[in-house]
Amino acid sequence: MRLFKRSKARGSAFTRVFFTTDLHGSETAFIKFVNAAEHYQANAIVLGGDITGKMMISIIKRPGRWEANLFGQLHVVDEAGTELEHLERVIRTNGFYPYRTTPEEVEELYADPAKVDSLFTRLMQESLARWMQIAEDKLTGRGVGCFICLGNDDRDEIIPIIEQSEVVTYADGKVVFLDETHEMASCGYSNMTPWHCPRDVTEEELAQKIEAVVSQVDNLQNCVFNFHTPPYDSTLDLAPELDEELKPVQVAGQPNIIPVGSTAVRDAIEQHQPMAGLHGHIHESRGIYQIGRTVCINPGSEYSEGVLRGVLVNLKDGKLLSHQFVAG
Amino acid sequence: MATGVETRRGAFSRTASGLTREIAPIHHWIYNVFTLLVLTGAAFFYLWAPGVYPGTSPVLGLIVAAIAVIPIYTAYSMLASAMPRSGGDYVFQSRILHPALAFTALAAQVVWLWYWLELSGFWIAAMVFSPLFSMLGFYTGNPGLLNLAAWFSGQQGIFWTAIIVNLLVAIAFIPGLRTYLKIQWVLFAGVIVSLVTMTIVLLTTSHAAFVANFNGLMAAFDPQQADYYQYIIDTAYANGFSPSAGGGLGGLIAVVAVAWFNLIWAVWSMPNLGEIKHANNFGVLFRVMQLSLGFGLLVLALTMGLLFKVCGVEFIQAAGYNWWNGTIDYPVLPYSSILTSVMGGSVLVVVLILFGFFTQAVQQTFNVLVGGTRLIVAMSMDRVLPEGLGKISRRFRGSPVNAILFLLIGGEVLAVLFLIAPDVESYALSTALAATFYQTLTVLAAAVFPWAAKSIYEASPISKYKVGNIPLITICGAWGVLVGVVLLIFYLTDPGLGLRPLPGETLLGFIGMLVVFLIAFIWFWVIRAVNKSKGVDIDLNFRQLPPE
Repeated sequence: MRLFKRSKARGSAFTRVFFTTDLHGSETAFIKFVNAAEHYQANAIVLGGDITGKMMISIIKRPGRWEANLFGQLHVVDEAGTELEHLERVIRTNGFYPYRTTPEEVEELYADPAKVDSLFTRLMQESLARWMQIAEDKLTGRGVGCFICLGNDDRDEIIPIIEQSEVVTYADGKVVFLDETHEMASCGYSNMTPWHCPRDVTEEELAQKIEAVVSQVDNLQNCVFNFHTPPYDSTLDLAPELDEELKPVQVAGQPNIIPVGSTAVRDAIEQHQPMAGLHGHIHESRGIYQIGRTVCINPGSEYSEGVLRGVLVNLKDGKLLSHQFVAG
Repeated sequence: MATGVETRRGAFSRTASGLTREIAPIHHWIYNVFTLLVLTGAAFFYLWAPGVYPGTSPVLGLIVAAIAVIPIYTAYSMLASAMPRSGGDYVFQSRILHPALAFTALAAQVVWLWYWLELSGFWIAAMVFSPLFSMLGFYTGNPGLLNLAAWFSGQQGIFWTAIIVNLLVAIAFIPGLRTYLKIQWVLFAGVIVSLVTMTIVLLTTSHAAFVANFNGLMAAFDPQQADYYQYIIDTAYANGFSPSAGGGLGGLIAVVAVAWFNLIWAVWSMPNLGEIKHANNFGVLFRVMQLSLGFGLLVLALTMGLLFKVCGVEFIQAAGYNWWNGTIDYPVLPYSSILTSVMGGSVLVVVLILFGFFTQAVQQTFNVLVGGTRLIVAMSMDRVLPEGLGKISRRFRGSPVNAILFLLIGGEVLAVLFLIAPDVESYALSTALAATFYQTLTVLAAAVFPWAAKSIYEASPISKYKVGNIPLITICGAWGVLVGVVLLIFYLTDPGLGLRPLPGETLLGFIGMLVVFLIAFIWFWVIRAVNKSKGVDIDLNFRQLPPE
């Protein structure tokens, strides 16, 4: 499908794509993401997955006040005034879901993990719905392509929320056009992680999912791969080795750093040689790595600081003209 | 499907991936203690402060310096916990102040790291090998060993030691941090053993025993001076030494400026923030920084006091005066390594003391490479340095090999320059000024952080720390700027701090510093234009995205 064209109004002789990833529920980072289109004069903006938060913070109603435990410290705000909204905003900025509740409900949640799980899904959906509204408010009529994928940490229950949007294209498992020439094939699944996240799959399954989407590409010469997981042993995938209890394996008193990327992703890039590979997943492994013709990029992530890390890639006639890491 | 749920006092987390790099607080503390240079750099302080400012108590200067540093470490800890990124000062300044300013200050610091590499070689040659062979020659009566000791104190000995040590450490560092981490505990143990041995020796040696041992050693080099101890004192007086010089408020500030050479350097862990586990936890970061400072202050003040007691105040001051003014051509330089070794009376004590100086100097070389490469990588990611310079090696699991080679080659070239043009060494004294310059810019960034990067500040846990309505980081940052400016003025105007030349000396150090800053500043604007011609607007790297 050809939804978006290169914007002549932006005055560039090339197509500029802004790619970011791993926002993990940070609302400030998401607002920055949609603002990035104008700020960076991008023709298309892409959010590469892991968009939902990992933690819910109870804001507990007490007589005349609200209490919340944030960063290991008790925050108390008056019932009246704007402090509560400010606290909720700080919680959202850090990628957590604020949840107004009562002491009794908190006890119920402690006792019933399934209830917590279902509450997480509800909060994710509510948060995503609010994000889609923000995107529509800021992007409607701007002529900017906005593409969002899921990552391995996200849940399928949020897909319908994104698909309902008028301005955002749900790109996971699809091939979309970034302009009239350049395609983007996306896959948000990951090889198995120690946490067994919702969208972790085996390397074999991942290879099948990748092939399913790559087979839809018209012209691989002009294609960008947007695969959440970086290729194996690419320097974009270095992370501490973990033991069975999810604790870092220590060597000489320090974490043992190993490659944790996907062999299926690497095989696909080596075989198909797209223009570029846009990846995330490993927040600390920001960098670039070339596999044959393909320039693979992981912009890293600092969502919890409210910082939006990303990369600008300039595309023209099947070539990656330049790339530039940005953090705003 | 993730169903695992963890709870902690009303906070519920779901099962999700969370990969992080980790440098534990204890390793961070050790790293800081090394960068405070409690043996090698301190040996300069024990001569410099009492020799040039004898009218001021060096212990008082250390205490005042430590008190002045506390708010600065607090500002650094707050800034770091809000922006825990590799590149530290460069990232803070470029995002909060201006990228041209940040690049000029920190690129110049990278150049000065070449000098720091030379300093490691100097320390090993002049503070380890020279005393070691002096003592061995003295005990065995072997003139060859004494000649070797004198050679290590000279230009050739320092040159070859720097060349070889830098090369070996760089080779060990290229495969990544692992080799260093394997030996870090040995290096640290060496420092602790040396400190403990020095303290015991200083506590158990009488003044008379020291004078006798010292004179015995120096007579082996210069038989004409039977009382070298008195010769040092007499020579100082004959060349204008006055015990009351360098007193008053000006003297105190100058001694603080000398102590700065040691006590400020826990900030050198900042470029590694991307790898420090607790970097976004202000409380832990604050404690690690302040505990490092407390340890450094304790060691320096205690050792200084004991050196005064055992060696004599007048002798230390005179030895420092002659060392600073070059009025005695010492066959072996009177650093604390030799002064305490000579007290020990045995080869074992000498080895125990000198091993710590050796391990600290080696670790210092690692520190230069660790922090320097993180700065270079951050700059190359921003395209203000060539991207290839910060390239991460796949073969060596994330090691920035090109950045290591850049530092190594620069250091080796500088070593050659020092050898063929010894005057270039005066350039070295500008390192303290250059470092204070970039650190002052960082605390300025801290002071304006709540307004200049409002969204990041408000999102960070440190935003709750206020005094009245004023953010604590602003108060600490403003204090740091005040201290920094005063120190910069002193570095520029006080001849006892190196940049203002003494009669007969040149302005080479000052000119060299200006040239480095100027080149860095011009480089930034040129590379900005070059990038722009390729469609890369590097201004975008530093501009905050609207958070609303």
